[in-house]
Amino acid sequence: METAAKLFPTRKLIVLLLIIFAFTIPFFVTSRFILHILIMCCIWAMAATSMNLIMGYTGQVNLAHGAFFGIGAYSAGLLILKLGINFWPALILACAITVFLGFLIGLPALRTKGSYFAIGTMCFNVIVTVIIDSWEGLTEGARGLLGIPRPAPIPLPFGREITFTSIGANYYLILISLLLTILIIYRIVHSMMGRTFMAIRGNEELAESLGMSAMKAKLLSFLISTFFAGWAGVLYAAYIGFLSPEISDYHVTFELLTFCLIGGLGTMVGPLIGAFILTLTSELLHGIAIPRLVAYGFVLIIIMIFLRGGITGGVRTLWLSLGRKGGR
Amino acid sequence: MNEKLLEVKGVCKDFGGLRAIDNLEFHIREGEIFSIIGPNGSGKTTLFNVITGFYPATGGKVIFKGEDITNLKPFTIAQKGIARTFQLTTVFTRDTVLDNLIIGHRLRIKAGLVGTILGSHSNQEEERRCREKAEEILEFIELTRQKNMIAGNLTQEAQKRLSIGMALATDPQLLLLDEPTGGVNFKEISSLVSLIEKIKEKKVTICLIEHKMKVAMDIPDRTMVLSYGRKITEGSPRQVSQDRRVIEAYLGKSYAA
Repeated sequence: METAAKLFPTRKLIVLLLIIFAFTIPFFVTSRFILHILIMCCIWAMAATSMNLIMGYTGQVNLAHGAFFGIGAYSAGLLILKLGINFWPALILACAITVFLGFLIGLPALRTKGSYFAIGTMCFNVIVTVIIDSWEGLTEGARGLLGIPRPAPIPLPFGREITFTSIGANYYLILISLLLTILIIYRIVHSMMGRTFMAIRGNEELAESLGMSAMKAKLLSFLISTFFAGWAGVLYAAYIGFLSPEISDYHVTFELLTFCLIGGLGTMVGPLIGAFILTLTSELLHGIAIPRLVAYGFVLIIIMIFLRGGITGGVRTLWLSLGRKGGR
Repeated sequence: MNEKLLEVKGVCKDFGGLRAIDNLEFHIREGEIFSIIGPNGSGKTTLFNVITGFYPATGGKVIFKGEDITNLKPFTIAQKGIARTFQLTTVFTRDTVLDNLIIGHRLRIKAGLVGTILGSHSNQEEERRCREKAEEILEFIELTRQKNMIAGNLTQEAQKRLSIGMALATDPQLLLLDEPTGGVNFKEISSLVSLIEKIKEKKVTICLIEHKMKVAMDIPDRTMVLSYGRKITEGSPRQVSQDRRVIEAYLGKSYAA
């Protein structure tokens, strides 16, 4: 107990230092390439963190997360390009559309359990990609959506404004979004609501006998996670400026799943570590001709056999065995 | 004291062609300990599952405090004040004892989304109430020393206590215990028995399924005997144990003379 009490302030300090470090990066990193990679890390970390809420904390293996990322991205792209809506209202609308579709899918899908839920959501993911690919009148199909503009400037008093033309400004926008996602999901996980989700993960029947509606809790967790997936998708659309149906593909889902599993499912930092490490390595190893998904496969097998808790779980075990009695 | 807390009126439960509960009629009075006994497969656990909404009833009515609760969802029934434990001891094995009890009081608070995200004062207040409840129950079930242990590492007897504690944390008026001493060794039974008696003093009505004679004879005020889903008899434990039909159901016709 005492070690845990002592540990806590240091942990807070580390988090604070990391945030400050993240904010100062654009001041000394001038390489557009490195900033680009960091932005991609943040976007994937956001999507993986939100997937972690439904999968890691609520125990429902949602294999449609890539679809919701794609739905968010396409909704924003279409709203901006076809209807000429400003980026900021489009962001809100796109998240609302994603959550609405999440609701329509969650209601029937969450009635199933375990692997049935996983298969059901994965089918939905495939359907979404097929629809985006074939509804050419709306989505331009395989040609993709071209020329989505960067986020619109935010007007400030006294005639100034925040613009998002530079890569640095985009970095800040996406970093702040990531931090907000982490903050909100942290708050949820460390509240009675989070306890409810984890009770469902632990034993659904027992949770129901203690007066918790499993359906309500699962649906809520599912919708929150789709909301952030959609948000991450919108940021991706506006940053990259080009969308093709592959962005909603189940490969994206499995990539997010890999981030969570390698980093450590059901922990706050796990998906972040997974997303950063894997995005960095895959971007830096672009020249080397190892098919990425094959490499992921091998890493996953190794993690599943030797390191069930992912990197976070491994570090925790190491930490506990080092610190004789060990706090929590 | 004599008011009917729970009334079961002509409840039937079929599994395909098998009638597990057949036109069952009984009631539980407020403040008593009511026990259900019967040979294996006589429908005791099925009855619990019907009362608590885990199985839909094929026919009949379950009335709690004058309100029809037949076929409501399990969580609604728990919210109305009926708590239960399971035959195979069920706790959240990966969480600590304290966490298990905190979540037990979850149904009495709101924990709304906006308040959670903003970390509002009322939400913190709610969490504090759950913690207080958990501490109170912890003392009641005498697990204070094991507070921070992982529930899955507790002894079978302590897990039984914890599961009863979780049910109590929901602030029930009626507590259904499915074999509270099942799988526990002989020495430890008496501590569970005294826990059950302590619960009775708290004015919680108890209905229990029990096999062990020591428990089934000593604690209940009234006992009902089931066989093949039918009620054979009902009365004080002494009366019931002398009943010819009960002996017949348990031991066969030749012993019943």
